Amino acid sequence: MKKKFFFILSCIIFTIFSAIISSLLGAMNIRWEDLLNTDSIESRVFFELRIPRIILGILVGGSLAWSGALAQGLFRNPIVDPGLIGITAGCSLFASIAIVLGASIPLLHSIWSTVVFSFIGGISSSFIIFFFAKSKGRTDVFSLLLSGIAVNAICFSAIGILSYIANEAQLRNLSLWNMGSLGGASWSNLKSFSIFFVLPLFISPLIAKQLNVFILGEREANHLGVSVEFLKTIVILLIGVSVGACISLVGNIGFVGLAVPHIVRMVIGQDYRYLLLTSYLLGGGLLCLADGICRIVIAPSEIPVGIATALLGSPFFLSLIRKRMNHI
Amino acid sequence: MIRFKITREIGFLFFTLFLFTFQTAAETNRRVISVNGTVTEIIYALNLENHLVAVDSTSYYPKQATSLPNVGYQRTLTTEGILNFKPTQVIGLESAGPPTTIQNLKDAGIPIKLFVDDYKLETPNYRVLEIGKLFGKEKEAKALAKKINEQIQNLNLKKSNIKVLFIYSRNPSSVFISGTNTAAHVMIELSGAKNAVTEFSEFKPLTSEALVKANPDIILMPEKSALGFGGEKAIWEINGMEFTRAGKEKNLILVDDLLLLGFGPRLPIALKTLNDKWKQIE
Repeated sequence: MKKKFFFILSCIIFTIFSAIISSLLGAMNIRWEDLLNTDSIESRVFFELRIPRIILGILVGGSLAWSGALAQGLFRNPIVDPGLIGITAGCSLFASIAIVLGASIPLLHSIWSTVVFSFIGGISSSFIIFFFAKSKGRTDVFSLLLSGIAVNAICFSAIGILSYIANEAQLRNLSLWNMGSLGGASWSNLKSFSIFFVLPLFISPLIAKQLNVFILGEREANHLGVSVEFLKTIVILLIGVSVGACISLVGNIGFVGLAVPHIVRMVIGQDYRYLLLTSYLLGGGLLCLADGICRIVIAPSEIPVGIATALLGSPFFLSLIRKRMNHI
Repeated sequence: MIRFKITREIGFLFFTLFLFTFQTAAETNRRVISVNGTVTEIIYALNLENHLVAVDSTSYYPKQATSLPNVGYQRTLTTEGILNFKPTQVIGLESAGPPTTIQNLKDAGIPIKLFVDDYKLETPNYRVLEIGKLFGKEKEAKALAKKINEQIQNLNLKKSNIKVLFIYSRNPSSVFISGTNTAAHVMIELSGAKNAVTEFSEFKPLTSEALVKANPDIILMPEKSALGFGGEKAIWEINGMEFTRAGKEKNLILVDDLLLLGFGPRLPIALKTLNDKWKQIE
């Protein structure tokens, strides 16, 4: 219990620390006294670009890690990530359609419409997978995984075709989108999408206990009074909405969804009452810090944030795996 | 009466001086960032470089431009990286990006002028005149445009049936060739030769069979791309190259990227360079 408490406290401190550090990092050198003059360019950059970006980093990183923890619970497998149920592929496909064919499709001319279109894609693909995995009123997790793999394959083939017909500028936008970036963060984005990022925090406590039972197995959970079908539906819906919002807004960011919940599980165990919230904190802190580092490594340019999350998290992940091997 | 006249003259002189000072102040307050090599080249050609506070990584001509602070590559710009220099004007091409950065800069109220990526004989003049307008230097811009025009008129390019294949690649694992509707295609055609590949538009990956079928007389490559590709030796080792005339005779022309594809003030020089090469091969 003490270990749990300390780890959760460490994650809270880490997230706050990441936000503070990230607020100090960027191409523009901003001093505290600059912030007092609200008309200065430094103050505007800080409050209109950097702060929304930090908040978005925490929310997206948190949501991805939280969704990863849910997906691992749903499949009762600690090495799956939300991408397996096709949401990432659906988002990517629809974003690619908007980037490559946007000019000839009505209402798809702005950045914002690409985001919304991508979000619709993510939700649609998760519904298709869900539909294929459902039979006689039951959702078979194994079929869900297979449908996910099939839909992923279809989506990525279609993205391949789009990449082939894309011109140079479109191809560049596609590859940039696929590497993920928080550069588009703004207060208006946050206003429109924060509901999808904050929602998990409120839903978590309601399903944590049921997920703890669900890990024992579907039949056992049923006997213990858990409404298994309802739980699976709600989990897929939550992952779909949450990851769909993340991917459509910032592009593809790997590693966080798979590794963060896994790291948390290694330290504090399987209890979903703590696992979900702690994953959210650690994922948010990690992405926020990674993004800050991305902004200064090759300033004034940036490296894609997906690269930095993997670089920051992997050594820690590897050391935990080593530790675990030594215990076996 | 005379006194009044003198007073009026002195007043007029002071007013002129005031206007001049005001204009100079306005000029020194101009802080321009160029995010394209051709735009930078035009700014230097118009002697307006003292207004430049930063450039992008494609701005390497003239050499002095490389000593200016750099905001990174034109397609991967960052909002903070640009705003850091407190620009009063950003100039580049429509390919500048990513779109979120451009949007953020517009939201921050920074005036942005992005030229269309078009490849015409008139393109350099249009850009020169527009940049002249932005700086309030229409007269100088007109003079430069006239000079470029005259150079183009006096080119006397000889038409030839030489088939040119433009190859673009940064590494040997992904080699792209130019179809129609690219800066390279237009340069080949304008300089009097023929593009060896007209079956598709834009760039497509090179296949050995397509290369043999196209049978180019000469390979054209931007210098920097050729360096990244592994130099001349690597080019002749491309599968199928040995079956083409270019491969057999080792016909290759490397031209500086910005000179070849920039459509800037040096367009006449680029066209002449290419045309001379076509004459040699023929």
